[in-house]
Amino acid sequence: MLADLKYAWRTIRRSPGFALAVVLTLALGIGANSAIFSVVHGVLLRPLPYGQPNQLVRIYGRYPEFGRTGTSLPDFQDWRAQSHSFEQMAARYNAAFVLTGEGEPERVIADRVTANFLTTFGVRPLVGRSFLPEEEQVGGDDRVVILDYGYWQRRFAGDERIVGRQIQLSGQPYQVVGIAPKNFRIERDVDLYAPARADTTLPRRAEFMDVYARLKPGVSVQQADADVAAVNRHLAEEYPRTNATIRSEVIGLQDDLVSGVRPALLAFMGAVALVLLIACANVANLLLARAATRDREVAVRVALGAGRGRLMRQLLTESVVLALIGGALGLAMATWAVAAVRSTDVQFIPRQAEIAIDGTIVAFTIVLSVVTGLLFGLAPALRLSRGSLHATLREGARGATGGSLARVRGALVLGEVAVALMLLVGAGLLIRSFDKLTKVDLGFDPSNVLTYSVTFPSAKFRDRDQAGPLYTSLLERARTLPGVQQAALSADLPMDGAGYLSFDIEGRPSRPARPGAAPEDMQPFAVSPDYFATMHIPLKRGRLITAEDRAGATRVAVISEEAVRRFFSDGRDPIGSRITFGNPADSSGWMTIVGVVGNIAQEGVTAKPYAQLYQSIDQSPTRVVHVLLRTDRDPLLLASSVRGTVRSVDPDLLVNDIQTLENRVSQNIARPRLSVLLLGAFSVIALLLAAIGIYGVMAYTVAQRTREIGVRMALGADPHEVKQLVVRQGMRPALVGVVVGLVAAFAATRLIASLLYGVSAVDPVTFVLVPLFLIAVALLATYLPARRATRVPPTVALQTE
Amino acid sequence: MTAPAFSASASPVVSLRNVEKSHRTSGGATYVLRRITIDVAPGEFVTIMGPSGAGKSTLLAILGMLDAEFTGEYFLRGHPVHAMKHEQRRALAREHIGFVFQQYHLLDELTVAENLHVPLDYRGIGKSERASRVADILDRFNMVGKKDLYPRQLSGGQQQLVGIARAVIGEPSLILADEPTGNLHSAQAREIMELFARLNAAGTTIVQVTHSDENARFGHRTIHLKDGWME
Repeated sequence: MLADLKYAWRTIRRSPGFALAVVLTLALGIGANSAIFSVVHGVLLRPLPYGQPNQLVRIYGRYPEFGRTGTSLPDFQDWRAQSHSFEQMAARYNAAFVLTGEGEPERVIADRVTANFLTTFGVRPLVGRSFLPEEEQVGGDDRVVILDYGYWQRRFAGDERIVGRQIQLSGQPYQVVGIAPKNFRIERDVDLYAPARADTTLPRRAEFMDVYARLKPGVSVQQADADVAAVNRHLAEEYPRTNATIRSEVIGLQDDLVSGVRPALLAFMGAVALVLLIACANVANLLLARAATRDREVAVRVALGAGRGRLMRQLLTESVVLALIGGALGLAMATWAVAAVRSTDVQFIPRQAEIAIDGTIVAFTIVLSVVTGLLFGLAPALRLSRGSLHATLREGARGATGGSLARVRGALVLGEVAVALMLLVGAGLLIRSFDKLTKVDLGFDPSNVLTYSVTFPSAKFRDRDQAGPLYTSLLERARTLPGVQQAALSADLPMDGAGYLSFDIEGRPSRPARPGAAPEDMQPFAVSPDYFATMHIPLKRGRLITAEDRAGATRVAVISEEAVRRFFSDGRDPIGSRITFGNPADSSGWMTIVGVVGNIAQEGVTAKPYAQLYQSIDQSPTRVVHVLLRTDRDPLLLASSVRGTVRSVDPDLLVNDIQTLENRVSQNIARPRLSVLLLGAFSVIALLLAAIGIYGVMAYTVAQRTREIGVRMALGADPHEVKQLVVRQGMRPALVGVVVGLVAAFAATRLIASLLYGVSAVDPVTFVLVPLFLIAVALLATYLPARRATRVPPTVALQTE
Repeated sequence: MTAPAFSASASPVVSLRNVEKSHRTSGGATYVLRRITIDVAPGEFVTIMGPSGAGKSTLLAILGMLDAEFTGEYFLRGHPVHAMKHEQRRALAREHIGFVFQQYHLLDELTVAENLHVPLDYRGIGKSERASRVADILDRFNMVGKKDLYPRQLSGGQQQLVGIARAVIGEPSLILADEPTGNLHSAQAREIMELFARLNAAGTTIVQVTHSDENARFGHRTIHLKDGWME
């Protein structure tokens, strides 16, 4: 074996160009597989880093016609109290604070969590303690926080003495009682955790909580699902007005976290496996071409007594050594790629931080390299060890080229074309889908709009009537920035998600909720008068919100066309109707509808239109507002001057999250973009490899036929005819490959159907254009060697051999 | 030159009976060898001659078990080669046959010493035993100073010397030489033939194919082939 290795190394060193071509091809193929596998392993396969992770579940509220939703606090409490399947049930919801007194004021992202949150996940604080049950009770001391590990490191330099100290959050003192362990991250990055108060007065349809639970040992997810469903039936009887239509869904936590990316990751894994197959075919072709020059060596070895097994071992050792070198280089490429993925700010995928090149990935790469080496080495090794010895030894160094070899080459070309076609069709579909995504009518114009958030310290926001003048000065100062055409405020920004509120319309009886029907609610927004002009949201009827709609004036609302379609389908005029989100008995909550505007995509580019209602931000002020500036130039040019402008209004105001609206939209489609980029990149590699492969085979075949072509030319053949002959013969396996690839793609693209938007998995345009493109590439790859062959003077060609 | 003695009465090393070889073509079978019946005695030095296409190299390939597609009977040291399976034939060839080629066919990537190791390695001989046999044969063939050179660094005659050393290092009972001096000039050719004669004198049975009458004179007898038939 050592001798085989030594010999293999020498053979590789003797033809460095050949070895380099093989190693690079394999490095691309194996590296792509290792990189994608590290993602699949980190995201899909590795258990969650919590105690007994298979017992962890996520519990969603669910409207059968609408889909998943969050859970209200009263529903959560009833689930927790009345179900029997869970050891622990915990909940969280988004919150934010402003940290002061520690240098520059800073907006911190927080999760309000139930006291048993960490316990439910089976983790303990790294330092300090968890929350106590009384800390989530109304009236209890809820001014305690647990710091996230990363935030503790970043903001407090990992100083353990912070535990026990007080910090100022939104003007209130909070005591730090613990530090969460490293890598504890539930769905989003937060800076700290604070207790969620068990406020039972919250409405049952305020569904803002995410619920997690730990199953009792031996209880299955299905049993738990049935258990919560039984509680829901009970709640529906008890609270028919609010709970008649709500259902629930219990799902394993790991499944839940990764189900969104599983199809894409599996598609990538399939794609890189195909790329590797093409790489193998190419390398096998290279080895076959070289095998012809090694016939003599093999024949001599056989004459000297080498058995077939021994020969196979020697030849396969060479292939495997090449593959291992390729694998090592591939692993280096994968390491680089994984570091790049981890360092991106955008969270493309859940558990991104857990993606790593570890022992498992190294082992995977080694096994894959060995298998690859055996795979591409097998055909040439089999051929050589079965070669016709006698003929080879008599003919000297000239290799024997039989019909079977041509068949093997043909099969390799066929396979390469088929596989490349599958990948290209997949990439083509994703590109078409992404193109549709970028052309979705969002209902607003995101170009040339800069957005940033401004947080008012709670001390300055005690008196809500002060908000109007502060808002006005914010906008006035912003309008002085060069190039600003319009400026507006909004409590929410598109693509940030939305809240949902149920409502009453004056004079319309509350309709009994139909079981399974979508909830009767709207997305509420609070905006300043210029919001619609800044966003280019068209007015359809009535009027927009104006500066007259200030605090204290009659409350007004503008609703979207979808709201009219859903809730005014009985022909009543929405303009002039009155609507309230609050208690109908409270007269101060009623708003008069004054206008109708177009729908906008609020929750994401692909979100279906939802009923929307806009109030005047002066009449419904918030402590955190988003400023939108429409400019006549690149909006990012203003980014540096924004802070100064805000500070000039009040130095205590906090500016965050400065980015263009276009960027927000584009982040919303970051995942499909990543899919397109990755699958596109794999397809380009596949196409290049396949083109090189076809070219290589054709060049070799034509070189073998130089003498024949010379004879034909000497006999008076037209070069054009000869070219045609060669191209025709070369194209035959490629064309069969196209047909095979089309059939395979037809079956395989269904697997990526869930990644597509607005394009069928059997999109005719893609299925026609891609094969034509591939045929054109194959034609070029066969034509070039054919043309070269006909340019060799017959006298030279005839001397060949 | 005196032909060395051999025992014609002892049981033959090689015994061919009615061996025939044909290629199937569209017009029927084309015969390369017809009814070849030969006995080669231990220690005998036999020359096969004939014009191009007479079937000389094919006969040598059958003798060397590089070609198993023939009819008739072939016994090597009493073993029925014609009735053996592939691996059995390979094992028998490994044990008894050494090959010398016109083009030397040394392995380019291996040094002289490593080339000599190869047949011993294939015979499953241990490392220290191999090293001692290689050292011994380098000494016998006067090539100790060249053991670390690669074939391309040697003259044609030197390469053929290594080729013969490689053929005899496994101590075969039969050496098959296919035009062993075909690529050498006359002085080198003579040296090589004298080497064969010495090996034969020491008891090695040799069958050579050659065009050269002068080379043929080194052997005990000559078999003439024409159009596949023995004359």
